[in-house]
Amino acid sequence: MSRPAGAVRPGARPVTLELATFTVDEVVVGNTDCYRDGRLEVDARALRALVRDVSDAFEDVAVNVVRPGDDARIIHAIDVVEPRARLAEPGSDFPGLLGRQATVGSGRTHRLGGLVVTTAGEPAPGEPTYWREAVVDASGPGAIYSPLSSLTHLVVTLKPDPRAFPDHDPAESLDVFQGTAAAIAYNRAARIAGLRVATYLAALTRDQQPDAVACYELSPVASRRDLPRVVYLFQMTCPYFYGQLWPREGSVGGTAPPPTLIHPNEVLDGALVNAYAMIACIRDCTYFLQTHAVIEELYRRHGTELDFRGVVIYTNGDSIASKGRIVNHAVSLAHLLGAEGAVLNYQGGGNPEVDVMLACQQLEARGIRTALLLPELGGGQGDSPFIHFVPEADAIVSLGSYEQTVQLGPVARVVGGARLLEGDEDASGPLQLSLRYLLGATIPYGQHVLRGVEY
Amino acid sequence: MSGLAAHDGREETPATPIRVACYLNQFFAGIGGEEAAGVGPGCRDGAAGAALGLQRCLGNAGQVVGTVYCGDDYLAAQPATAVAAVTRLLARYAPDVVVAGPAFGSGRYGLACGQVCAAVQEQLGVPAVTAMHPDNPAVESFRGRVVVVPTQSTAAGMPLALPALARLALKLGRGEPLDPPGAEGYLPSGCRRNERADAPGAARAVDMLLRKLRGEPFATELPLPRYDRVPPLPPLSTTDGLRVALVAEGGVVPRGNPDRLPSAWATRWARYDLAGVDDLTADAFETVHGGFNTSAANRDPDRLIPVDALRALEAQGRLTLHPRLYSTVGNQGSVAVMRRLGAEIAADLAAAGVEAVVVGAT
Repeated sequence: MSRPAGAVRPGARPVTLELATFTVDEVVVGNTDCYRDGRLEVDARALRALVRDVSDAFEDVAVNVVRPGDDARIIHAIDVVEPRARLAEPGSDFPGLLGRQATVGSGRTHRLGGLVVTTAGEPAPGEPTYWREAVVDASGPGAIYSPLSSLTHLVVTLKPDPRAFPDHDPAESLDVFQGTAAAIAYNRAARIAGLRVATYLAALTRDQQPDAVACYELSPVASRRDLPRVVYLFQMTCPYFYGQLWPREGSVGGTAPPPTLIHPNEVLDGALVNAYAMIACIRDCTYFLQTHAVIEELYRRHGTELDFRGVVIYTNGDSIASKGRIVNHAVSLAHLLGAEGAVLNYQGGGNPEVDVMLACQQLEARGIRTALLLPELGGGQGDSPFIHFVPEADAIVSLGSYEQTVQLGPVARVVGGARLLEGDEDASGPLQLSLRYLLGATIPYGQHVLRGVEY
Repeated sequence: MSGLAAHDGREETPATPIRVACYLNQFFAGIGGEEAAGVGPGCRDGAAGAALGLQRCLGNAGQVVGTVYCGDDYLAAQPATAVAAVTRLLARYAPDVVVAGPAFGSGRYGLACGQVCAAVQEQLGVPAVTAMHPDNPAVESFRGRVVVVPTQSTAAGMPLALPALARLALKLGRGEPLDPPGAEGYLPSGCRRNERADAPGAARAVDMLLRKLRGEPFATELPLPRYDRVPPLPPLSTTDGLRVALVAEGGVVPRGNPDRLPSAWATRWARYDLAGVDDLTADAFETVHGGFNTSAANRDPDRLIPVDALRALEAQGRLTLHPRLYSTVGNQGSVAVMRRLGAEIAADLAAAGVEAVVVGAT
């Protein structure tokens, strides 16, 4: 069909996300809720009421502020969220968990800069504890290990009500990572509580002028630029995807869905939310999803050094068959996007590394060059940092070994609890801990500057 | 020495030469060939044999004060006493650093150099360096304990090996820290530590990908390891009359986990009595493994490690079941720890006269 010369084709409108930053220079716990000129005042009673309203399973809620440089340590951290509010109509915050279903990633979203809402607290009865401990030091030697140490934390400490947790029926199938059905429900409520506080705080900026606005638009790159087409193969832990758990195969929550495409703006704007307390140093805290460093980095170079073609999200399989089903499809999607290069992350643990390596091998076999982001396993002398590798994995960025031991100094104030879950040590320290307990230390999305070197 | 000091017009005081003691085998010390391999430890003051070449590379900065030698056969036959004697002889020269080899591709000589270097470091507190081909078995044996300069597989590589050895010997002798293996020219120790990079991981990854796409040089931050290849033994034609043991990686323990085997990062194994146990029932056994959904395994722990099936074969007279179940948790386990656990379990099995093993993995 021909069309008249000069006619404009009725195309789809571009997806444009504006992240409007309202910097928080000062946080005060007071009697009113207000954001003005960098000063955030919060009414702890109002916040506690907001949280108790989420679930009857919270017996008690405490609100504390931990600032960078404080002689303080957060323990038992659950999730970390950057305050965001999608104020323009038809806005919906964290659809599926807070708001009604709506596609995020376009329009203007308000964010508080430099402040995070951190949920913490002891595990619920029936919740496995051995992966659960997560520590953030606000100062001292521990602070260099976490990208979260330089942020101000509004810590919401949740105390589970034991009456909400009936004894586990041994006949009930137990989810090894998340525990009993009651524990799973409690932890979902804990995430929602953090999101609710975060959204409430960001909404205090309504009708105010932001300090800065960052614009994210995956505009087409003119073909004459001849920039390499790059995709991101995003191996997820098992987050909430628009409110629905996206499981890993076999372990958490059942069958892994096939890989799919997602607009990077959706990741940055609340489509994905942390669902469970994976090992602290590699935990996919919501904050790390909202500020995803690989996506930010590909955007930063889009149109100048590369052509960012999109994001493929997937989780891992647990058998040759399920790994094949998942990896083959993820690679096909990358190929379909016309990729010439791909960044892959490995989210840590055993099974997921096999999937990443298989994906790397298949991409390279199709002529798609790869670079991998890998947290290292192993800590001992001569201990291999790999579970599995393929000879094609010749371009790897190390995010640091999470088995190395670090010394943390004593602190005057501990928030979130009093004693460490493992070893039952007094959390005020000094502590000798494996790096795996430091929240975000080897975050697989590359937010941090740690790396392992051979000597 | 800094470049600025050379231009400020002042005379530099020549430093006292570093005292270097060498260890060589009978051939490279000039004592004799294979027929002299049985010669015991001995020494020559100053540089002898291959140490003469090293002295030329050291120049005025270092002096070979003594050359200690030992025959390869002699040392291999009585390593403990021979290495102790060699170490005593080296100590006599009060060295700042000991240089052993180069051993090139020779396995016996390489192991001797590794043992001498380790003993000198551990007993005399003196740094040591050796050189050999990367495939020399001693490289793996002493990885992380001894600094090894890579060489070619034969003595034809001597002219390349000696300057590198001399440079590292001087640095170690002065007590200076070594730069990373790639920059300094020695084999990686296999040990890794964390440091701060100058850019976040995501920026480094995109940089690396773009260099790779443009065909520019790039350096991985995580070189691929070389794993041991363990050739499997030939299959058994029959288990008739054999004593067969069960080893579980899946964390099978008596209910209540009396030894508190951890769910991950295990550093121990446990052994449980199977006398009178024909079947791992859910009321008596469970798994503490934290890396998979254990519901099905806890309903019937035999599916992690088949006690019931082996008892059935035993009833048919096909084998004898060793009355101990060996158990650990592989979840998140480090390769080095697991290698140790495997060796410990194997030694225990061998001592008990076990002839075949069924290993249940998850």
